[in-house]
Amino acid sequence: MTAEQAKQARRQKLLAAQQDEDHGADEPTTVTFREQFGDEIFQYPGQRDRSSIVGTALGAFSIGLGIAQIVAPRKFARMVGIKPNAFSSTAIRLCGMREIGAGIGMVFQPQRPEWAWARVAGDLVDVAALTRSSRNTRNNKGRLVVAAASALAITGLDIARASQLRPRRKPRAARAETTAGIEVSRSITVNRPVSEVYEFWRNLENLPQFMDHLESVVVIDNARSQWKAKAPAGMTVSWEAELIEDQPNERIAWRSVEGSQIPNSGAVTFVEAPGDRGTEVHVELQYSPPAGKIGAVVAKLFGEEPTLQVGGDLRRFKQVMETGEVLLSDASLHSGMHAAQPSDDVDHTQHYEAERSIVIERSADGSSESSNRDRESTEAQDRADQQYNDELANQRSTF
Amino acid sequence: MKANCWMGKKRVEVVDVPEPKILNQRDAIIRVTSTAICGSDLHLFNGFMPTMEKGDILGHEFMGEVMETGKAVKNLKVGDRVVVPFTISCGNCNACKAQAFSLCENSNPNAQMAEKMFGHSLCGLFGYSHLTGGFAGGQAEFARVPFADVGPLKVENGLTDDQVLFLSDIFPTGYMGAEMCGIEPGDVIAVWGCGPVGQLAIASAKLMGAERIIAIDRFPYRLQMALNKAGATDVINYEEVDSTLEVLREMTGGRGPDKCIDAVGMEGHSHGMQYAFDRSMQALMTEVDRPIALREAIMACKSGGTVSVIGVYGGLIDKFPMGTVMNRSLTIKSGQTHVQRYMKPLMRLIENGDIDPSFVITHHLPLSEAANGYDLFVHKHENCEKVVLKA
Repeated sequence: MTAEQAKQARRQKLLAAQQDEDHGADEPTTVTFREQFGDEIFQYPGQRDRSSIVGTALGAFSIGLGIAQIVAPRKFARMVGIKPNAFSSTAIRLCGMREIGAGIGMVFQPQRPEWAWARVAGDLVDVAALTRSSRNTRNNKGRLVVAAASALAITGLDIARASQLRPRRKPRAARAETTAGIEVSRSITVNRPVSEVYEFWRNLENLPQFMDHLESVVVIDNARSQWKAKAPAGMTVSWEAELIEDQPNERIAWRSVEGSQIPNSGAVTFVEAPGDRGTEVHVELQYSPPAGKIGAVVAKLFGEEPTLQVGGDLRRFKQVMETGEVLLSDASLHSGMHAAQPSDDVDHTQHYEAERSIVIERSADGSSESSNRDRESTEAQDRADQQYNDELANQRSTF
Repeated sequence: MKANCWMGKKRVEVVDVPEPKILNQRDAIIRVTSTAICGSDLHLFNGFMPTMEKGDILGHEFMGEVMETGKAVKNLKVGDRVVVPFTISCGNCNACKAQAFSLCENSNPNAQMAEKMFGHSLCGLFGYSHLTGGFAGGQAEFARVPFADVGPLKVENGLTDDQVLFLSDIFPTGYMGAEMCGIEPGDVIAVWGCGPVGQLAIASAKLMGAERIIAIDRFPYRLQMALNKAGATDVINYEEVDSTLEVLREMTGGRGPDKCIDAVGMEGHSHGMQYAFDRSMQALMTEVDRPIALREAIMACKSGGTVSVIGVYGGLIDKFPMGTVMNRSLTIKSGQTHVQRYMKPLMRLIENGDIDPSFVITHHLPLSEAANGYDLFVHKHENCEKVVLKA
């Protein structure tokens, strides 16, 4: 069975498992970050897209109109063809306040449909009022017709705009409970030989070093292992997994045994990267979150953004393989938002101790990895010197 | 310890924060003796870079004395005097091995965030928003330096802080800007922007043998510095001429400059419609950067020439003259400086007396007056060119 066929078989299995669920037989989804959060993540905070600009523009127009109506109701009345009197002035001022209200809403929340529909409602009132006024012979019928027609046109615009807007969608992941089988794949290139990368991954007990959500993996025998993952509120979730494939320096595949709380499986493929750049590591993970509460727990467990989670795990894997440890920064040390400055409330020694074993291991092989690095960085500097000297000679860039 | 922190748009404040500690085995803790304010810090100050948090320590040009090292650091010992590059690089990934240190694949803990913005992540940087990792910067009394066995350069030649501090950023940046041009004998180079990086790009171009170097800016004192100290042969004050393009054309016998360097970046300025357009685009938030100098450099450049971009850009630009680039065989080269590649050779230049980068310094202030320093620098008061803070 080829890898592709195996993949298809797994998919079918997941599908079959979900058939009798009351959530319907959905296609297993690969949830991308973009699908979940939309194009918003590509924008700078506060940046507006074209649609927001239209909304803002309409809002600004509303505000302008409203100000004009409040400040100069008589002039406004004459302009649209109404003979000004106390009643019309009051009515126009009220319209003005309504316009400003809706306008402010649209300027600050251009994507919210409520404000857009409020404008439409106002527009309809305007059209009705203008039409009615045109029947009154005291008023300038010609102008009123023009005014009513313009109001109608603006109504059309506003309706078009409002129907464009949809109520804010909840991110995809919140629906993880009702989605069948989640499949995630991600790859990364590691500047180490294939055998070294395979060996590190094959010792499944190494996985928690870079897979954030895993607390521990204990190898029982050649094929079986016990996995424990961190769950919210200090809980842990545990399952037993079995190796279903082990092709040295090529592929490792595992799956949770029958009856596991959270059926999941994974495979990692190792390919030599072109151009002597090390190893391409391709990971595929599948898990089918069960319904209800456990499903929500799983969603949090595997990360609400599964692709991000796996991507992060692979990056940490690469760091461990290439540099010996996972790099920490003052801000990323903390979960959640934190300023980029040192803090006293984190136990730094814990991180330090936890990673020591990896670095010492890596330092141990090849008689001190760090002295290799030393040599390498000196070599890098020497290369830089050489390049500079070449440049001086040729006055020509070689980069 | 005291540290200069970003507190919001156009606000920095020196506050008391905890001292840094060793977090990774290849860390070192540096006691900062000198640190500078960079033109790119002003983009943070003016609120142009996203992902800043209140309390972020700023500063990426710093040097000092090693106070403590992690267990895996073998090349440095306590007491060593070092200059620290602003790029954090691991030395082991494919990018570092290829000497593209600002592309290090392992040094940005927030790589996911950067990937969303840029397609792939760049390396971690000191004090330059959470997009580049959320590392505390060097405008402080102490700083934690990751991968201390790859970055910091030992200073053992008795040169002063002022003479070597700029190996941390602006000298390699200006140098790389000139190097990317591929300067050949007889070349006429035009440099947009006479801030400190522009000055050092001009000086580097001179070292590389450019025949003429035309400096473009609007502040007379900066143009004077370019002419008298950096080595420019001609200057253009773009506010005193009708069209910089026309002047450049006439100065070069109709050809245009052979190579152009954009040392301005995202906060470009000009008079006229272009500036108004870009400012309004920014107000509407559809465009983050104002690539005024870049557009002009592309239009001015001789056909078949190279435009070297070292001015910092953060996001998307409008109205990019791609037609010009394509139809006239222009090459655009750009990048965040691969500082570690240049530090040693450029140190050699300083030691030999070929160049003294300290000519750009106009102000020395204590760290406690950092806010004043930013104010001087951003408003260009007192003929401010470069502010160095002493901790």
